Amino acid sequence: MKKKWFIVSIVLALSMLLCITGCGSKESPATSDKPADTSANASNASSSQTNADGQKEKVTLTIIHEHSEEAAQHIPSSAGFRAMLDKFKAEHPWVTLEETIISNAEIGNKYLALIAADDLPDVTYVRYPWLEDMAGNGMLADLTDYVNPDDYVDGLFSVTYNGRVYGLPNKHSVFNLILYNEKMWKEAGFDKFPETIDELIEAGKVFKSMGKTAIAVGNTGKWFAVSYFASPLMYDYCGKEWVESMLAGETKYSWTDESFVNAMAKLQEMTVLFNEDINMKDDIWAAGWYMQGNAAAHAVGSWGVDTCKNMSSDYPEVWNNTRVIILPAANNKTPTLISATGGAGTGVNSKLKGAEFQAALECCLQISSKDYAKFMAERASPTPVKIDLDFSGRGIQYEDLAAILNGSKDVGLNFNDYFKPNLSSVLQEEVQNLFAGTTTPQAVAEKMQLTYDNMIKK
Amino acid sequence: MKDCLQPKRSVMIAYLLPGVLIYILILIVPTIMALIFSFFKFTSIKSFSFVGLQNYITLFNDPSVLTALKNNLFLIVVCLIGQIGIAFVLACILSSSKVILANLYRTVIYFPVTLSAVVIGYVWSMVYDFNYGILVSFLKAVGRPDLAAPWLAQNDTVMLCVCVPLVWQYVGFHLVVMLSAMTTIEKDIYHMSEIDGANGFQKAIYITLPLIKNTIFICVLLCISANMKVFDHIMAMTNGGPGYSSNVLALYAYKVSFSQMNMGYGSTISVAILVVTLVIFGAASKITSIIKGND
Amino acid sequence: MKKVKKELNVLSSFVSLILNLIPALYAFSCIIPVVWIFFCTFKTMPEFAANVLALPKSFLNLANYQYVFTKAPLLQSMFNTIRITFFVLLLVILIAFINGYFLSRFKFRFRKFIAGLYTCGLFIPIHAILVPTYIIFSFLKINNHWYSTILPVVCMELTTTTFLVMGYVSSVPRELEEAAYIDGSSFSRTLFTIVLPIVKPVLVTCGIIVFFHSWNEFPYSLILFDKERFYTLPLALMRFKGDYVTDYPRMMTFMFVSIVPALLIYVLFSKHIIKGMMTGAIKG
Repeated sequence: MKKKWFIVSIVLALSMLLCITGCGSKESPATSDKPADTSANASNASSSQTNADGQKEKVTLTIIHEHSEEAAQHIPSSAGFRAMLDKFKAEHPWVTLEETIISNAEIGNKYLALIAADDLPDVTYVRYPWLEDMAGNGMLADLTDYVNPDDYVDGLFSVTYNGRVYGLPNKHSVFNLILYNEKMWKEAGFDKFPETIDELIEAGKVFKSMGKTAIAVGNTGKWFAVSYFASPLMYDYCGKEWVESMLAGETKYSWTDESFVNAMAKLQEMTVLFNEDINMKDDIWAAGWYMQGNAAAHAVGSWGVDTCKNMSSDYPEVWNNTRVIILPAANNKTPTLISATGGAGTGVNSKLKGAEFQAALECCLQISSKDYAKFMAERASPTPVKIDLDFSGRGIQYEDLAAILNGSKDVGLNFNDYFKPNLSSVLQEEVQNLFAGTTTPQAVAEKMQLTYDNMIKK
Repeated sequence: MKDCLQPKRSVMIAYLLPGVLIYILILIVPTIMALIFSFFKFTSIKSFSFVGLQNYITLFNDPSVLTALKNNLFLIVVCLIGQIGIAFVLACILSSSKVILANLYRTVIYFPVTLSAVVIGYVWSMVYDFNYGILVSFLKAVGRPDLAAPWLAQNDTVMLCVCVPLVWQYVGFHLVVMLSAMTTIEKDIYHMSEIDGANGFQKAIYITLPLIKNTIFICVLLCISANMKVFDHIMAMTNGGPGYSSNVLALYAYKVSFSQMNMGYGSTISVAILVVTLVIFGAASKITSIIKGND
Repeated sequence: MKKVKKELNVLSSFVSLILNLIPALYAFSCIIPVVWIFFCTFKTMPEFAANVLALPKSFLNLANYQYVFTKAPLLQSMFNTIRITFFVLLLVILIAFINGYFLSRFKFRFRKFIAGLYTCGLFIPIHAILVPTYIIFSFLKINNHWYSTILPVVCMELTTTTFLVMGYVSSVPRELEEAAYIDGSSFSRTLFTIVLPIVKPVLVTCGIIVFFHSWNEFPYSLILFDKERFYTLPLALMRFKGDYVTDYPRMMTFMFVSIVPALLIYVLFSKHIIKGMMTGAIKG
C-alpha cells in the first residue's frame, strides 16, 4: 500500500518537474542550440526605423527553410543560404532571427499546412507553383518597387504573378548535364561524345552488349528523369512556344499533339541507356556507381559535379577522365539548357508592417544578393543573380560547366519546377512506367491531357 | 438485475468524460473538417470553393484509386495470414515448456516493431538490391542467377516484395499481444489435456485458440485497419512506384493533398479509406458472429 | 519396449530442436537490421555509397559519433522526446485502463456510442487530419508549444490500447471485485487497488506499444512544431537529409544513438513484464 503511494508521488513529482522545465524554457529568451543568434554587436546600421532614443526598434523575424548546417557541408546552395543569413544577422543586430529547419523532402508538406491555415512565417518560401495560392490570396507582400528584374537571370519570371513581383529567387539549378568518362567512351569506340540523341541511343546499345551501363541514373525520387530527359526532349520536339503556352494554361496546343508523343517515344527508346533498376535506385547510388567505373556516364544537375568531386579522392582515375557536357539534342535541334530559378525563392508575409517589413525585405534581398552570387561562383555553382561565371583553376570539369552555363543560348524551364504539381506528378509517374515498359507514349499523352483538362477547368 | 458493481451515473461520467472530450476535440473534429473539405476545392482557408460531389465523381473515375484499393486489399489478406498466423504459431511455440530462452526470443522478435518505417524500408530495399542484395547473392549461391531481377522496379513483382517486410516487422507486435492474453489461461487446462493425450498441435487449436479468441479478433481488426492506412513503408520502399503499381490509398491521398495541392480530392480519398475499412470491419464482425453462433 | 522408448526420446528431442530453432532463426533475422545500422555508423560517406552492405573499413572510425554528440542537437531532442513520451504514456495508460474497464464490465446507456467513438481511430488515416488539426491548433494558439503533440499522439493510441484492455478485462473473472465490494470498498478504491494490479500485463503491453509509437512519431511533430528547441528525435534526424545528398552514415549514427536508449528501456522493462505475466498466470 505504502509502495503504491510512493510510486504515485514519484510520478507526480516527475510530471511537475518536466512541466516546469517546459514552461521555463518557454519564458526564457529564444536561445537556440546553434551559434547563430545575434550578439549585441554595436557596429554598422543601415536601416531606417529608429525610435525616439535613436536606437533601432527591436524586431523578431521567423523563417522556415531547409538549409541545415549538415546540408551546408555538402550542398553549395545551402552553404550560400546560411552564409547570407549570417551576413544579414551581423549587419542587423537589432533583429532576432528565429529559424526553423525542415528537410527538403518535408518542407513542402509543412508549407502546405501553413498556406492552408494562412499562417506563413515572416520570411517565407515562395515557389512558382504556389504563387497562385499564396499571391492570389494576398498572403505575400508586393515587392515590385524594391527590386530590379534585370539583375536576375530569368528577369524574375519565377516569382512574378499578375505582373507584380512577390519574391526573390534563391536557387538556380541546371538539370540536363552528363558527366562522362572519356576513357570508357574511347575504349568503346567513341572518340567524342555523341552529338545527337539517336547517336547516344546507338552508343547505349553498344554498351549494353558489353554488359555495361551507358548512363547511370537513380530515379526512385521520380523527378530526376523528368528534369534530366523529359524536359529537354519537350523543347526539342515541341518547341519553346508550345511549352510556354502549356505553362500558361492555354488550349492552343494539346498534350496529344504528335510532337509530344514523339518526345515520349524517344524517351522510351532511351531506356536502353540506363541501369535496369533505374526506378528503384536513388541518385547518390548512381553517382557512386559511375565513380566506381561501372557506368560510362552519369546524368547530373549542376550540383552533381560537386557530389562526384567529393568522391574523387576514392576514385581518382575515374574523376581525372571525367568531362561535363550538356545532353545532346534530339530532332536535329541544338541542345536547350534546362534550368530552374527559384526551386525556392523567399518572400515577405503580407501581414508585416513597418520595421518588421523592412527587416524581412532586407533579409530576402540579402539572400538573393550579389554577395550570394559571388559566394556561389567561388564554389563553381550557378546562381539566379546575374554574374559572370569563371570557374577556371578548379578543374576541367568545372571549366566545362562554366562553358555550358555561359554559352548556352537556348534556355528552357524545368518541367517539375514550373508546372502545377498535379501535372508534374502525373508525368513523373508515367515516365517511370515508360522505363518499365508498362505504358505507351500515346497513353502517356492521353493521361497528361486528361489531367490538364481537369486542371484548367476549375 | 442491476449489476452490483456498477457505480453511480455521476461517477461514471466523471471517469469517462475527460477521455471522450479530448478524443472528440483532437480526433473527431479534424475528421469532420476533412469530411467537409471533400466537398470543396480547398487549398487555404482564404480560398476554397464548393464543388459538391465533383470530387466523388473524380474518385470513381480515377483508375489509380482502383489500383491502390486492390493493393490495400492484397496487403490485408497477406498480412492477416502472415502476421497473425506466424505470430500465433510463434506464440504457441514460445509458451511451450520445451523452448529455452523463450523470453529472449520474445524480446528480440519485437525489435523490428520499434524501428521506424524508413529504416525498415531501407533495410529491405538493400535485401532486394539488384547488385549487392542478399537475395541476389543467395540466388547466385544456389546456382540460379538468372532469376535475379530488379524486383522493386517491376510492376508484377513489386507488391509481393513489399508485403514481406510488413509481415516480418509486425509479427512481433501480435506475438506480444497474444502472449499477454495467453497469461490468462490457467496452466491446469493444459495439464489435464495432456493426461487425456493431447499433443501440442491439438492443444493449440482446441484450447489456446478458443480461449484467446477475443484478443485474436482485436489483432485482426488492428491488422485490417493498419493495412488500409499503410503509408510509411510503401513511401520508404517504392514511393508508390514504379508508376502507380505499388500505390496504396493513404499514400495516394497524401500525394494528392500535399504534392498536388488538392486537399479537397485528397480528403475524398481519405473518406474512401474510411468507408472501405468500415465495410471490411462489418464483414469481419459478421463472420465472427457466425463463427461464435456456431459454438 | 526400451527401443520404442528410445525412439520416442529421439523423436521428442528432434521436435524440441525444431521448436527451438524456429523462433531462434526468426529472432536472428530481427537483430540483423540493428546490427547493420551499427556497422554503418563506422563508415564514411564515400565508403557507404560504394557498397552499402560491406563491413566498414575500420571499426575505429568514430568521426560520426563525435559529430552526433557534439554538433547535432542530440541531447535536446532526446529530452523533448522523453518528456513527450512520458506524458503520453501516463495519459494513455490511465485513460485506456478506465475506458477498457468500463466498456468491458458494464452496460450503460452510452456504451455503444463510446465504443464506436473509440473505434473511429481505426478508420482515420493520419495525413487526412494533419492539416485540419493544424488549422484548429493554430486557431486555439496551442501549436508550437512543448506539449502540442501530446494530446494528438494520445488520441492516436487510445483505440488500440482501449480495446486491448477491454479484451483482457473480459477474461478476468468478477469475483475479486465483487468480494471487495462486499467488503465495503468504494468503487474508485476497488478500481485502482484491486483491478489495476490484475490487468498489469496488458497495461505493460500497451505501454510498450505506445512507448515506441511516441518515440518514433513524426507527422504531428512536423506539422505542430516550429521552434527547433521543441524538436523531437525524428525531426532532428531530418537535418541530415539534404536536398540532393544525404549523409547516410551520419544519419544512421544519429538514428542508432536515438534508438539505443529506447531499446535499453524496453529490454529492462521486459523482465518486469515476465514477472508480471508469471504472477498473473499463477494468480489466475
